[in-house]
Amino acid sequence: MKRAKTLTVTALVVALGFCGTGAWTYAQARTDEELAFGRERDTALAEGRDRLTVLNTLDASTRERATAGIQAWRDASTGPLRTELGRTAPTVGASARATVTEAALTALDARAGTAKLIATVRVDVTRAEPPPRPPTANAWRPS
Amino acid sequence: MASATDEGRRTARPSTRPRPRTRGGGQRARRRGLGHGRRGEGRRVHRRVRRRGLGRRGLDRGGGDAVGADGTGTTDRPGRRSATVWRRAALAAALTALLLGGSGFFYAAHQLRSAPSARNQALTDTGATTRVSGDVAEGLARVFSYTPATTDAAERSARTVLAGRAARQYADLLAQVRAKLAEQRITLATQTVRTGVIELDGDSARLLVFLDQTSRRDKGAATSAAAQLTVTAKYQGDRWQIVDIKAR
Repeated sequence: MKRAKTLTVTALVVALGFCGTGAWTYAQARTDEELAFGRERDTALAEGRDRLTVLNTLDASTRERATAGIQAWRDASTGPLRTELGRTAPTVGASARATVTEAALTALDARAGTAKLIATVRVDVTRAEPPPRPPTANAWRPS
Repeated sequence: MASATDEGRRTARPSTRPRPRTRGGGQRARRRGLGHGRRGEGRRVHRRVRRRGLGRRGLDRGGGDAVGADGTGTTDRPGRRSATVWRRAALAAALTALLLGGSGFFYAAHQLRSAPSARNQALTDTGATTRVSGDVAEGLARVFSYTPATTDAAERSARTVLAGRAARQYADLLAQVRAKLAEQRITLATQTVRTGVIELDGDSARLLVFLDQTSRRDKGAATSAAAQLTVTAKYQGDRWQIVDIKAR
């Protein structure tokens, strides 16, 4: 009986120790600065790619779409660039669709929240479709 | 309860104590006696209470423990057995929970440490990042800068800078342009403008490099062109060697 009790207590202590060590290991990994920096770097790169795609894309087939595109530019930028892009007047014209083919961070300051990124972007430009003409059949037209 | 009966008995019993003068006072005295008691009486009361308490405890021992332990009020034997079963189950559950929890923690920690973002040392290992960027930038500039007179030197430096597929590509390229270089007296100067490490895992790395190339034909005007390359590098010997170059 006594031996069983000792065994039980030992098992509980060992299990508790195992769980505690696990928790400690996890906490260490969770708060590891280098790991956190690595995650931050990947986030910055992924988001940078997305923003760059947006900033090089514009659907200007209609005025509304152009307005929405410029709004997307504003959402993807900040600081002076945002102000500058906000001044762009939406016009109907050629549209551009961008694809980031490669990107890399050259610097990351996690504390300041800034990163420098270089990327190669492929931009496909489509010319504006001719505007739809009003129907002209069977109608008297002033000359 | 015990005191009350005791008091009753005491009053019934012929007493040697001096009778209290008044009823009220007697009651008061008796009441006081209840509280403090005379030594002998108090002890007797205590003894009786203790005996009764013992007796009750002795009685309760039959099923009381089981009732208290499992709280369901089952009968004697099955109750005790179910209590042991319950205790064992709780113990097993606790052990399982602790072991599972510990394993979960270890697994999560392992996941964190072996995630792609953790394996990639680009920028996290600043020393290695600077090293590979420097080696690749300097190597590209050296290999892609030449004059008709220095193609041999460029080829020699290519042996230390390039390896694998990149070395073969370079040899092919140089074989194609060598005659033209001498004939048209073309000089090429390459500068690395930006180098970004995309991936750095131990002794292999992938970089994005922006180059500015200025070529001059004889004494004509210089023409500049930008080039974007994705470079794969391997750490061999004591420096990073370029093993693959892809134009972007």
